[in-house]
Amino acid sequence: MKIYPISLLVLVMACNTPDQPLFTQPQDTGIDFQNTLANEKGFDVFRYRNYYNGGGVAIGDVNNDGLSDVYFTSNQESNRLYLNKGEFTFDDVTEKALVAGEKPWSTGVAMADINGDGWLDIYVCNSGDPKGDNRDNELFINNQDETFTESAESYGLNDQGFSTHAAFFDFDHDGDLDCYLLNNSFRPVSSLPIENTRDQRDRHGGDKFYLNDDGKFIDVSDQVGVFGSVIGFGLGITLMDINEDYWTDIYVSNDFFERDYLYINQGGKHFTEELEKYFDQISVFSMGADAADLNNDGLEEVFVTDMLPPDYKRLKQTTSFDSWDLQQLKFSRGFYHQYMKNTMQLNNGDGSFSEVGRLMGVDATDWSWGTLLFDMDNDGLKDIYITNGIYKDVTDQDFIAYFSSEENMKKAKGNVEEAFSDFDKRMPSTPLANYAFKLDSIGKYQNVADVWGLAKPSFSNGAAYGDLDNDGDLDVVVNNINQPASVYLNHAEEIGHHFLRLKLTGKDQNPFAIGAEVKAVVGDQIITYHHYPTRGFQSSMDYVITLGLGASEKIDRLEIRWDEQWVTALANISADTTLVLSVSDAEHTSIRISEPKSYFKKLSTKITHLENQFVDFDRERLIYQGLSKEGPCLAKADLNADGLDDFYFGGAKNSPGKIYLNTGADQFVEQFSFDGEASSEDVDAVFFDADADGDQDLYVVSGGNDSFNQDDYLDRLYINIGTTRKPVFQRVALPLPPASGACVSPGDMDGDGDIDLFIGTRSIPGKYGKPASSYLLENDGKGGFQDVSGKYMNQLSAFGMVTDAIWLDYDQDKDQDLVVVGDWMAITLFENKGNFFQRKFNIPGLEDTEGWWRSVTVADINQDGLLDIVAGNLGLNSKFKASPDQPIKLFLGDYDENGTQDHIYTFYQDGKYIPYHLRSDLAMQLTMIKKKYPDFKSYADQSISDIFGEEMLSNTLQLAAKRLESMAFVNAGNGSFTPVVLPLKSQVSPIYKMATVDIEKDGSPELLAMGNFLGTKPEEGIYDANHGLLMSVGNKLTVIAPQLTGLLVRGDVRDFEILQGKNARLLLIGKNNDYAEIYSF
Amino acid sequence: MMKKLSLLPILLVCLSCEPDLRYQKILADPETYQSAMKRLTDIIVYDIFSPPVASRVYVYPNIAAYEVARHSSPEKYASLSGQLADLTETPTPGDLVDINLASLHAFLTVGKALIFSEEKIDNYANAFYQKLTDHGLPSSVKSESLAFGEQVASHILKWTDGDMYKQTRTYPKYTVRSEQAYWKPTPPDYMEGIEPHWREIRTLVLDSAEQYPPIPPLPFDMTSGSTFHTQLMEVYDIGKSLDQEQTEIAEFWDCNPYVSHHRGHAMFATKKITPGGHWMGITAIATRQAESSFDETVEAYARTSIALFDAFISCWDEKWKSLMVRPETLINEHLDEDWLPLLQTPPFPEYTSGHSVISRAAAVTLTDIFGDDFSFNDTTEVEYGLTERKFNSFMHASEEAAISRLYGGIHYMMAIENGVDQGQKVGEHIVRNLKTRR
Repeated sequence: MKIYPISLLVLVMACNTPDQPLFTQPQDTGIDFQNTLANEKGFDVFRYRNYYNGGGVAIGDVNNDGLSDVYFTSNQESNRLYLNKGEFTFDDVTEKALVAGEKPWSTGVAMADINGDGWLDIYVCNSGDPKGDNRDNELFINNQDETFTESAESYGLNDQGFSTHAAFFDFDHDGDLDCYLLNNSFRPVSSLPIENTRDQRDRHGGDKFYLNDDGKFIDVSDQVGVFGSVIGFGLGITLMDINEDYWTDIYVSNDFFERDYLYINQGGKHFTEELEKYFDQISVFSMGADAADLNNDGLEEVFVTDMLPPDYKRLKQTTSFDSWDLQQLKFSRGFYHQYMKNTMQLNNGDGSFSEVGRLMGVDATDWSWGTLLFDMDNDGLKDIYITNGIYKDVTDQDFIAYFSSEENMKKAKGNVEEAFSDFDKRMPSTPLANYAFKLDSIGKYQNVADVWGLAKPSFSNGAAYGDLDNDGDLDVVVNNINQPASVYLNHAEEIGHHFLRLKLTGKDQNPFAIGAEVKAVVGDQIITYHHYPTRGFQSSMDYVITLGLGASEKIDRLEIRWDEQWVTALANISADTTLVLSVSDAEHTSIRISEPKSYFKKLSTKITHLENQFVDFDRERLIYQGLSKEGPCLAKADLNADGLDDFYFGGAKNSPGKIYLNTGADQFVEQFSFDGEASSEDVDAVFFDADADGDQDLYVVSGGNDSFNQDDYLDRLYINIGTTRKPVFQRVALPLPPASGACVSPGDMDGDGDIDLFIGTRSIPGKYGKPASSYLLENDGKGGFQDVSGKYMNQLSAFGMVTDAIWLDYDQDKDQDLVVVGDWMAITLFENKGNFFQRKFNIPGLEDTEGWWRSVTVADINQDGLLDIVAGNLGLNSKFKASPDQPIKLFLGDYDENGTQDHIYTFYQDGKYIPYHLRSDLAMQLTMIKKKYPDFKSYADQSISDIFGEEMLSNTLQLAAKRLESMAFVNAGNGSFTPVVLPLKSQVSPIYKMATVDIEKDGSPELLAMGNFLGTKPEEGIYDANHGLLMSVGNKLTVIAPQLTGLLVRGDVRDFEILQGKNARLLLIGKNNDYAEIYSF
Repeated sequence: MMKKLSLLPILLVCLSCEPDLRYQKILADPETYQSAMKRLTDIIVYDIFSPPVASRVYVYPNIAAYEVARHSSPEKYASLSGQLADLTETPTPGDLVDINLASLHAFLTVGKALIFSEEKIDNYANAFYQKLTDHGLPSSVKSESLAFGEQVASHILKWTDGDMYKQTRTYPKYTVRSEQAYWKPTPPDYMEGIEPHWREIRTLVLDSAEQYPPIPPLPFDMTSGSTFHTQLMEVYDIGKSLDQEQTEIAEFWDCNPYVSHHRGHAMFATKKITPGGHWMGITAIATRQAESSFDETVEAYARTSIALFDAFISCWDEKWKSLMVRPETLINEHLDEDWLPLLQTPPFPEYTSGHSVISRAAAVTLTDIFGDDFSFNDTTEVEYGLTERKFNSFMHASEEAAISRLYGGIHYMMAIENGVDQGQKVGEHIVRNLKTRR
């Protein structure tokens, strides 16, 4: 079962000569900068939070000699300027140029022509001395003679905050550069309760916005709407144009509990903060960030770095996660959905983004300061460069324990200097390799830092790119702590990739044309560069723009958007040259606003699902996904014979399910509320004619994990005893025990013309993982049901954690077979043998399919006339990874013999199953862990066999998941199936429901898939990236671009139904603990 | 001095045919037991046990030690079996057994089973047994004594196993409720509530966790002028105007085993003894001052730790029934976003004050042993960087421990006053119903 094509990695390697990686570090460049941290008395990481944040790099041609120069900031020593002398050699001219800076602890740097004279000036942010004083930022104005004059005060830019970085751009399009200044809070985080004081400006500091008023920068933060509170711990400014209106927007990444900000520029008048409108979830300890179009569709992605380690050993040594309660508290106080991982916000082109970091393989790069999105190998696609490493592992859990011991606290009370110096020595120092991610052929990122010569372990902070030798590729300079700066020479020109260099000339006081947008159309690729040289972490990029073109020798069309009014468009540009373009040659244009045609139009509705408060993890501490948030369910039928579909909308526990009727104008009104059964949680429902009297009866499955009253888990059959025009439902008894159900699947299993039912059970409440019994109910033709599980399908006893099932005639023998899916279950097929159902274990194509399946449907996805199985799984945008060779295993056992089953989730590594759980989480449930593993180090690499011994494991229930991707199983017609992984873009989230619908009524149906899941622990993070996916079927399933569908469904979708409305078809969507949505199409 | 001493035994052994009985002096010295107790306290601090769990780690080793030590004067001491819930008759020693050695061994064996850092007990025990051997302990006496200690320890541990501790480890966590009146996790770490099912733990002398419930807390009422609101304001106002004495009192009785601190991304905790640990410290002071013998010392520890254990269960029963919200939560929400209590708010509901309940129960017990007129200088907290304080009775100390929670900004007056009453009743019940003397 080979599914993945070979990765492009091999090809990448083949492009380089074997002995020379893409990047080399030439000796004798003349750059001898090193950001040296010597432990100063009274100044260390215990007393200065940002002690290891390091310095930045700026690249720019400060003497206008056509060669880009390099400037470094230093924390404890002087900053340095190196002039480019050609041939990749540099001269340190710091002293002569007068740019060393007089203030201690320089952080970010921006090169920008602040006075608009055509010469780049240098703005340096400073964080001050141990006492926190002497921290005015410095502005070195270029004297045009390789010397500079510090003039911050006269420009009004001598801000005294804990400045991290500054970005210059023309906010109001008045022709000069304005400034966003990022200031880290003065307050120790420990002194701040998790209170949302975002809108209270800190009089002493806070982020600021300065408007350039004829050479004088005026603080207009409050007028333009920039937050500057004490909870802002900003580490990154990213300029972009997120809404494509040609006015510069700002993404601010904030460390600690404050969430990031997204400022939308309102026509140069003010900003509105709209992060939550654009993004579903963000990084928590956001550090550096960058925005760029990563997939050449002309739309900018946003990538933000955090500090999650990629391997579990280090994770267990250095990391702790927020608890569920703390996460909820933060959310309730306005800190939104924040998770510890790098986030890649994929631009959907419909005003929304989907976070796909884990799907793309870029979520965990350890303590990552900064990122730069640029085309490192000139193949035409931007790569992702990440600098990481903290000089001391301040979160090392064993160090923390050492630090916390009574002797040491006493020591710290006594001789502070000696104690802190001792602590400093004991903190592990782990240099890390930086990352370089390149897209592979299946559209995921692979770390090629090693292949590219960029993987030397280091403590790297700021970095900048620029073409230092004018050869058409981007060289890289990195500022390291206690190690020489890395200067990487790029050899992309040697691998046959073409390029275009661009120098842009702007107007007025913005001669370097900051803010211009370049779009190069090469075939079907749009290579985009947004000219904001201040990027990444505390750094500033080369002003000469270099675009990689891959194998293409020309650009079909080149467009420079200077601002909302001026554009330059050129056609058929030859590659491998440098173009100098000026706004003075641009053409005036007006913005075209085109509404793309879309299938779906949103209607308004107030129908709501209200989930009851229950936390699965409070009862079963070690499970990762709750079972109590599985509603709402929907069922449709025309209940009043008006030709229009009505529906049942299931309620959560303590909310009744309700029937809504179409008023005749595609509005829905509540017709009946099942108040008597409100205490049951409705998880599936179906209308069908149980008693063959021509009207629609209703079956509702009760589920959930949170009721202590067994009766709440009884399913309900409601017989319709009303009239054709007015349905009336009466509950009748069912021959079923209470069970936390998942699904009801109606089908005529015995071909006698009535509808029989398969009832799938999800769980035994409070006993996650223990296989539950499902049931088969036979209809006597009059709506009377009998449990025939034992008679026809005896394997349903203690069957598993069923989530969904569907009938189909897979072998074309004119009877109904049954497909069942579930958690830790394979795609399970029961073949109808006439007088019983045989569970088939060896159907080719269905082997090794144990997964965390959420849904199953049948559809002819290859349009060959045979029905295929399509199954929704967890997806691949997850910290959980599984394959048949490397499954996830759940070991369920009573390890401490206290009468409660403990859940140990493990992953496979080198022949062993290693727990996912952090030591503290496991020890909370199993006290013996603390005895056996006195420290974190001893636990970090332990397998489950090491912990409990083989003998104890032999008494556990072991469940496996081997596939987490949503898949189709194409019916070969000969009793076998061909497994096909659904498109990558559909793997962004769990799929709870799929159905085919012929959107365009052209006879060629589309597959609609929805889902998401928010009922997870913070360490796993939520799944919310599916905004309603439409796929065209045929030879190959293809995801239709979201901006074409008009479907933008955010939230925890559980079910949808296609209804026949009066004026159109209607798509009804049920979301957990949220408003329903209705679209017409 | 040390050097001289260590040379002496060799000389003595060489020159004399008399048996070397110096080990008996060591074993008769109550300081030997005090030292083992101190070791246990240090490990409890190191391993970080929450206050109720720490009371459990104290009580069973002391019961084990007592059940051995009582055999030193069988005519004087009564067994606890039959008096403590489910405790069946404990084994009797053979002739060769040194009772004090067996008592210490039972203490260390039970202690080791309950703490995490086992090697810390092992190191201590090994060094101690070596010292006895060096001071003439015959191997037969040693092996018989350790065997008996082991026997009693295993009897006690088997009994311990039935106290529901193991089962309650996997009982549900408290699910945070959104209503204002109910307890919520508090800054800075918003730790989950500690031991919401402690009431399920088997009480030793009390009939049940709810035998002596305090009067109900004041009705939650945030209207200005309501009694509840007035008590909330009292916490806020007193916190802003603490004098030096009040500050000292609050810090002296902090007894929070886990105070967390943050430095940027780094987090660490300062560790201290628990409230129960403080009263074990007072027991040490009292027994020394009264010049109690080895067995009397063991008896005092056993009785006081039993009182503490049952008092914690009684208090925790109320805490997780009334689920009273902490003043810090309400003050931050309604009065002052930036207000911090002097002490870090511990992670469990407010009503009643644990320190008030358990301090009084311990004080009632110690008063029964040593009398009401017993003034002492409490030096327990000196090694944690705090001052020493003088008290003219155990009751006096317990009163101060109680009021310290108001100064510390972590309790309302009702939790203190009603907590003291609750502790008084629990203490009196135990004094009435637990007899160590025949």
